Amino acid sequence: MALSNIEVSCPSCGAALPDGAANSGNLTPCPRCGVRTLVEVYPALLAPRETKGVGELIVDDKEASCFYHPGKKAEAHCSYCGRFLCALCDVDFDGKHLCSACIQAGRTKGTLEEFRTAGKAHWLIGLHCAVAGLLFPYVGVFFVPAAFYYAIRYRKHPGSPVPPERSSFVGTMVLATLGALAQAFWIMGITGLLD
Amino acid sequence: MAETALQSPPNRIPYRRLRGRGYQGLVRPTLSRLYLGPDHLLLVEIEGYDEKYRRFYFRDVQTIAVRRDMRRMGLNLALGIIWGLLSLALIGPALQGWFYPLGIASSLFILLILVNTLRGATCAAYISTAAGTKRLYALHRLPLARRCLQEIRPLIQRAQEDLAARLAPPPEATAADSPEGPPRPELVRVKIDTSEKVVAAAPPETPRIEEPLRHCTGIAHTFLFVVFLLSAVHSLAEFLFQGPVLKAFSAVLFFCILTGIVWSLISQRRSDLDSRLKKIAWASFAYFVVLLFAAAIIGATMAVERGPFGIVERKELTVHNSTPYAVLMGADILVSVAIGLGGILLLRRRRTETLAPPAEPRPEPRPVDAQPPAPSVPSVSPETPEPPV
Repeated sequence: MALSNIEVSCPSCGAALPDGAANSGNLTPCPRCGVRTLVEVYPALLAPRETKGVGELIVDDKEASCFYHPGKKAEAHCSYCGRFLCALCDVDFDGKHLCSACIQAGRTKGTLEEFRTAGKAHWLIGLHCAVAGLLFPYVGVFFVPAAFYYAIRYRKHPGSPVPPERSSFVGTMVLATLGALAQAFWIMGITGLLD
Repeated sequence: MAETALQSPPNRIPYRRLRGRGYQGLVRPTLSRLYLGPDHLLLVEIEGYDEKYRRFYFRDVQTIAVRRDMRRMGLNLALGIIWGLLSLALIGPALQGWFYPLGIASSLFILLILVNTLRGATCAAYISTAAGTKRLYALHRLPLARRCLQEIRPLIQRAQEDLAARLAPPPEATAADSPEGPPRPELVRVKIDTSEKVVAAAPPETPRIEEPLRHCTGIAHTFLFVVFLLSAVHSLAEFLFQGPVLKAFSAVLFFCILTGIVWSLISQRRSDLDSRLKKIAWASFAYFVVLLFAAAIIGATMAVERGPFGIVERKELTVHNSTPYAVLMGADILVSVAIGLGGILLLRRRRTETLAPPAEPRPEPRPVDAQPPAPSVPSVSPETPEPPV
């Protein structure tokens, strides 16, 4: 089955796009609604779905059993925790065999980077603290130190799979410094030191 | 040992940020960014201070679709309206003291329109895997989407090399042996679902659903073309006479043309309207944008000429007595008449075609040597007695 022999539908109206629209590299206008669309199709679309077995039952007592299903034969062991797994429990991920407990732990605790689905944008908290410190010097005593803390503490360990941008770090530091100066002037002003 | 593996610090995956960021939602905007990993594309969505990660492994990517949309035009239109209003205020004598602030604000809007135009056409990009389809808000401009595609295309192809080899058609030797010749390749239909819900991979025999075209009555277009004709008459009158009534009427016409353009463009979308009428509506929109630019240039020239506290009388300004202004007015009248009259004639023809009764089928010519048609089987009259069985 060739990728060139694919008829693609318009994402806007559902009409069939002209022949050769897939992988043409150009925007193809839909003959019906006129919306121009670029479509790239890859072999994964035509790949048959792989079905997994449910695991074989143990017939000999000497055979190793699955940690989660003692009645089933172990076929692999988890790459992270080492538990024996049957065909049903074994999750094939990028050449590694994983069990569901490790995947869950990786998701919730962040122990496995490739399974993390949520995190905190600490750089954004730092940036907002710096802006708040600059705009409201009378509460800057809380915001400016917080901005410095978030910028420095999470620069190397952002708590996120992606590194924080250098521009956000520099921006936070500059704004926090300006906020500290504004706060210093404000304190000097109210204490009469400026007079 | 197993516990040690779990407690060890997470292995860092090197990511590189791809250009582009997009926002989704107005009440609580979500910032979307794309990162390129060694074997996958990472979509990071930041909502408030919470980040959500979604990974698209190159070996799983089935389709990437980029659909061009009209957001750039819509934004330009919105900015153009504000800019047009500012320019009108700049020309008018009521806000003399506001010349500089209005001028700066007007230039800012020109700059925004320019930046929006130069950034390229807007688009909506979708990525599909077996698990479902997801819109990539970060790729909201066409040049950006193309650059990103150029970057990730070879990575996806490399990741799916073995799959492509497995799916390759059999060698031609087998095909040549068959008596019917080489077999025709099977046609695969792919429906790109942009609803972003988790769906299974579309089976090849999925029936195609085509939306029917809406019926367009053409009221919006009639309104637009009539307004254009009125605009031509008004331009001629304004060129010859001056007066507050004409000035007020020009403001009314401005809003009428704007309303007509927006109304007709919306009503003609996915409708059964004649393509020529659709093109005229788009041409009127383009002409309106050009007119706005010209008005701003004239307004700026007038503002420079009269100064912040200078003359107010329009007749005293040389720009109104110059030849280019006369040529511009003449061109405006001609184009307005062409759009208005052409559109109305087309609409009239369309109405006539719609109202005309369908033509009767013409009888087929009989060959000369043909026998006259045999009489049809006589119907059995109620009086005719039926033969006894």
